[in-house]
Amino acid sequence: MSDIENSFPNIAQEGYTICSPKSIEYNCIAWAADDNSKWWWPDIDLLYYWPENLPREATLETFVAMFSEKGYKICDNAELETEYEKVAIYTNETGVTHATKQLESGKWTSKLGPNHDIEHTLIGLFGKEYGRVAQILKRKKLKIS
Amino acid sequence: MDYSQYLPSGATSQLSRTSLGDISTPRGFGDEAKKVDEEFSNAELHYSQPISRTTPIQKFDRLAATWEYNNANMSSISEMALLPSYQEIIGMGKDAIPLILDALKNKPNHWFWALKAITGENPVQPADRGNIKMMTATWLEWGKQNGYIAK
Repeated sequence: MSDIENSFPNIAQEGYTICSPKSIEYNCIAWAADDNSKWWWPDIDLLYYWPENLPREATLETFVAMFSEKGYKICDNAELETEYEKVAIYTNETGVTHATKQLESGKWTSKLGPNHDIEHTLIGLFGKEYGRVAQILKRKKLKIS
Repeated sequence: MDYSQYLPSGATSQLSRTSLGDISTPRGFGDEAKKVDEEFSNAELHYSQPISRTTPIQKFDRLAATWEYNNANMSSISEMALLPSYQEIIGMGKDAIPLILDALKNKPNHWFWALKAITGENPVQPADRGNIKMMTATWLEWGKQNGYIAK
């Protein structure tokens, strides 16, 4: 059993694919926000990247505000909609733990902390470590001419 | 010579018939020798006990390995930093600084929270926040300027 399967009890049954080597250069929040050059986190010690105008607290509201600044709006489902791209935010009892973004296939892509990028289902990452999906957001896809 | 007087009663005849030769010969293990042997065994055991013989490097390596195992999928820096192994490294105080800088040099990782907690400093420029390569380079330079790393 891999370390990923050890951490996420649903993932083996749900299916997943490892898509990158491990890296500490960026994390799930950066990845969902289309940045693979920095580690994003709203720490109060001002060590990590976080948009200047947003509060530094790991609450769902703060992360929704961050994605809203990138054009996302709150959405009530995780279904694939071809004209939209979606992100999902996970929380557990400690607050926000994870964010993931939807692929055109309908699957989701995540950077697991300093671990690999993987493709997976939303339920695949449910469990003690990340908790459950607390919010889905979506935005219109940019048209490339 | 007849050494049977030194053996427990009834042992003589059995020992003298063994195929291993004459092991009824006394070996010189008096009470004092036994005491020395016990003390030596205890000393060996004590030497091999990690808790009493752990050097700061060994302690750091053990805690760092535990911390890496436990933060394998974490994005939250606060959660990572609050893991007991990380807090214990911070608890090592200034002894941990050269060890952390050495670890950073060999394999960049999220040691910045610990370095700030121990030193009270944060030399990383706001523009470099979250940029792990720049954060690492900045702290290694800080280590040189402050005598923790040879220039």
